[in-house]
Amino acid sequence: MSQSGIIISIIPALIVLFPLLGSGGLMLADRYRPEWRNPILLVSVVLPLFLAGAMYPAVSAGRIYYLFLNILPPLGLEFRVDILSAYIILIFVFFSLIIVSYTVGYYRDKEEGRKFFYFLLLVIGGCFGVALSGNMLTLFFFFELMSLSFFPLVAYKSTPEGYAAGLKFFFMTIIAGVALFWAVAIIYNTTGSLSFGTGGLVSAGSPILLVAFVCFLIAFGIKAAMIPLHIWMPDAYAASPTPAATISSVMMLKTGVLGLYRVFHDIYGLSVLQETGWNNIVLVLAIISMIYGSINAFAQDDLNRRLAYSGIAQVGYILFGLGLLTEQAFVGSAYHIMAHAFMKGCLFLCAGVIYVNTGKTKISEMKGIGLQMPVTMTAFTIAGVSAVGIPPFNIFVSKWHLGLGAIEAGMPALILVLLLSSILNASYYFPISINAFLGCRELKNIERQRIRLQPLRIIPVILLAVGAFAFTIFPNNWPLDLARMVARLYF
Amino acid sequence: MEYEVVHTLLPAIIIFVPIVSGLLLFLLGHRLEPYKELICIGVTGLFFVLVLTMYPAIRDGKILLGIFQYFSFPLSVSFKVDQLTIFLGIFFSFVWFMIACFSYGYMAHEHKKVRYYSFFLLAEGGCMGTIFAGDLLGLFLFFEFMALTTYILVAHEETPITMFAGAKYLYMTVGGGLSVFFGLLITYYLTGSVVFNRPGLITEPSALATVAFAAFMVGFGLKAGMFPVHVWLPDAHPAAPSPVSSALSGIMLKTGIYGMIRVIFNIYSPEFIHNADWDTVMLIIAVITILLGSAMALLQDDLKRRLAYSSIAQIGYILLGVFLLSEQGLIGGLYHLFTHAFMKGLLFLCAGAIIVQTGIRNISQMKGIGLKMPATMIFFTIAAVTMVGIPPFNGFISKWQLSLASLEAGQPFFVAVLIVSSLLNAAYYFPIVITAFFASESSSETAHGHEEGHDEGSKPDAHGHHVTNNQTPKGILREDAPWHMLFPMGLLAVGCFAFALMPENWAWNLALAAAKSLFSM
Repeated sequence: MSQSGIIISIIPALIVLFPLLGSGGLMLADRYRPEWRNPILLVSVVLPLFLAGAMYPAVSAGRIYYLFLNILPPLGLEFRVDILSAYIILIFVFFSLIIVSYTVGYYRDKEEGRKFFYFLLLVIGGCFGVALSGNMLTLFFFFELMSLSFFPLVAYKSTPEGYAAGLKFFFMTIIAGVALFWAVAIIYNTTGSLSFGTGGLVSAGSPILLVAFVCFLIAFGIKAAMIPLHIWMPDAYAASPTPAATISSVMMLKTGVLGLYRVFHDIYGLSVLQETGWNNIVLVLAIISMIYGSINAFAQDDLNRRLAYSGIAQVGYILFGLGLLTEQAFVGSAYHIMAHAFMKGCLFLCAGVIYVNTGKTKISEMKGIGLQMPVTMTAFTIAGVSAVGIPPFNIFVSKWHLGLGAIEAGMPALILVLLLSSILNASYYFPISINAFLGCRELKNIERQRIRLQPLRIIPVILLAVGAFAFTIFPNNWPLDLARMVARLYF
Repeated sequence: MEYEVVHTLLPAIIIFVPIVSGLLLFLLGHRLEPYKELICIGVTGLFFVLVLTMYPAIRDGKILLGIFQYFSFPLSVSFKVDQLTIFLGIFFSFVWFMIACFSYGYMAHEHKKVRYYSFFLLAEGGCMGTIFAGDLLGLFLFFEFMALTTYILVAHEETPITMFAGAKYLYMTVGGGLSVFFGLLITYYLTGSVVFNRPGLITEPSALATVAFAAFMVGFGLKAGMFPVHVWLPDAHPAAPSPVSSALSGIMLKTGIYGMIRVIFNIYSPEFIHNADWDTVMLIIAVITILLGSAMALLQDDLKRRLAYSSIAQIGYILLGVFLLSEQGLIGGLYHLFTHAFMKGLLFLCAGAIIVQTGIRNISQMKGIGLKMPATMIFFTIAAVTMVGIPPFNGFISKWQLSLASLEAGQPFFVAVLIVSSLLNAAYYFPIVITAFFASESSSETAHGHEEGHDEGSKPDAHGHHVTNNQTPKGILREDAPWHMLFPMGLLAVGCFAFALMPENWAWNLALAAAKSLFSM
């Protein structure tokens, strides 16, 4: 990248700063000026949206936003927005707006959800930071900020399950932090740098670097819920309020994935991985994730738990695309980040709408729920169908590219794993939709009564459901173009 | 013969007529509720007319091609109307139209009619989109769309049995779709394109090409009801409302066959498949499908189940014709495809009329039903005779052609299979006709008693209707279906022989042109 392509700008820092400041502002507002609360919330998520939009034209033209803040010695905070960061941050700012507005509707009773927003905004700020960071240490910093702020969200319901799940998450986060610290230390010791954008700091494989690689895998794999590090996730999702599960699934999972992208392509680099074959560790784990997650999802009766296991399978897809180390597979993987965010976000929000309006969490109780909430369940059905990878939905595109990547890598048999996972997807999502709408002739009239939904609860759901196919039906698939640009950066 | 390619978006627009109107009907359900039947019949009729308007251009040797800028997942989707497409399009859209007309009477006492009619239109759009797609991706898109929308139709009655059959259909179809996806992916990887063109895309034999072919055959064969992936079919057909079974069997099974034809001629090439010896495998499967379907049909007492197994056998005929890989065989296969659409559509509509009027589903209870419902049973007889292949009827022509093609290919064995299957056809259709018309009065009365006992267990929605029928005084024998049900049945019945009687068999000429267009170039 030429030197002229770098724009020194404060925008990346501002994007991260606004939610963090918003969190503090919210605390103050709750104490002194309750009427400022919603404006503060709005500003702290809408401004990043505009700022990220402002960066997009230059970044998509191949330039890079860069900022170095000398506030965290010895390496300092370094922000660097390349096309990958821009792609991820665009997803994040959009979904943070969706989730925050949904949460406002979710906690209609303001007192109950008051403290939730403090931590929600902290998590959002942390996610933004991870997406925009320019070296591994900055990433580490924001990664920890995000993880630790997420703990109160998991335990927010103050139930014993919530507490246990929160604790489990907390300890695993500590493990992740320690592992990441170790890995960062090894890399810094070996190469003397932690910056991204060099196309690989490491020049050749060595045992100590393998240790670092495994540590990176543990650290980011825990966040991305890669088998066998997924164990916190089903519990946390089942016990936490829906917005927490949603933000974890839509954004936090992706930070883990982004971390692995950086590890693969910025720290180690393509050639080293091809030489050493370490990517196969991820590939194998990804395949196990896909199958294991799908099969487990099948067995769950709790809707959030089923979605959690399905999330494990979906992350398997993303890591599968990463582990194959081919351009098409990488496109599929990057595209799947977006596709999965829309699909799973929509499913979680639907689960939340069902929970707050009827109190139901078990799938077996949800017979005929489509008659009560036709719009919600239609959105759920769209997202469920999209998960199977049927055109014209997003996930078809990602599976298409993942499949092409698998053939490119000379392993067409792996497509069968994708297909197996798809059919399992169908078999655990379709029954929910089918039961919601069909076979409910014996229900009493009271159980068919339509429930009126608050606009703030239902509009995000509709937006995400439309997003599941909105991009693919137009002549230019914008996220796909972005994903291709990202892939071109590395291949 | 050279074909002139005309670029036009007309086919694409035509496809979206039923889809958009189906969506509108569904979304504006409460406003459009009083007009739902009219909309459904009107749109299917309009669609038929629109397809017909494309015919003159195709007859003059043109091909309509519309490259569609939207729905560009990774590639763009195109629509193409050529000789094969128009042949299928005209007859399928006509049968859809007839089934829509029939639905008016059949669905009169069913629940959730708005949902039924809107998904009916969506399924038609999906089905015709599959036929009109100009590349494999578009075909796959509409194939899946059709499969999913049809699920709602199959499970319409929402009884546990229906739900089970529907679920079986749904998951098997999704599996079949994924199989097609696999083939699609490999094709794209090998050739960088999925557009239908002659000569075929894949010309080099390789392991991947073999795998892709197998994947296509499983995926499309599943839809078509080919052995051994036919297992969803005998459950789904009896469970669905009769117009839906009619559409499933008469039309939608054929989209699987259509997919196979496209795979053979446009993805691979007949020579390629012949050299790779895949045609032998498929011919063996076709023979098994024919014999198995016919034999199983013989064992069924549920009329619709018998018809379903019979469909499997008939699909075997078409497969046989297609995989002979000769022009004569293809003509036979295509003509039989058209024949089967009319006769099996008609048979299922007859079964539906019987169910609506009397509530009888089992053949053993149908003694003397021909006296009660003479017109329905006459149509049934016409279709049955067509099925067996007796001269003036279409079935004769297709069987004749298939036999000739088998002999031409030096395979007299297939002629024997066809004859055996025809005998079996006669063995399972004629007894129905004979008991319907010639059963004695006493036996008909005991049947009546049975029927009342049977009714208590039947589906609750139609129950009230049955009771009124059973209370009809014994003196009144006639309780035939109303004219609006008989009319579409009559038209289909006429279609079973009209073309064969004319000096110029128009359908035959269309099939001929379609086969020629596939084998030329």
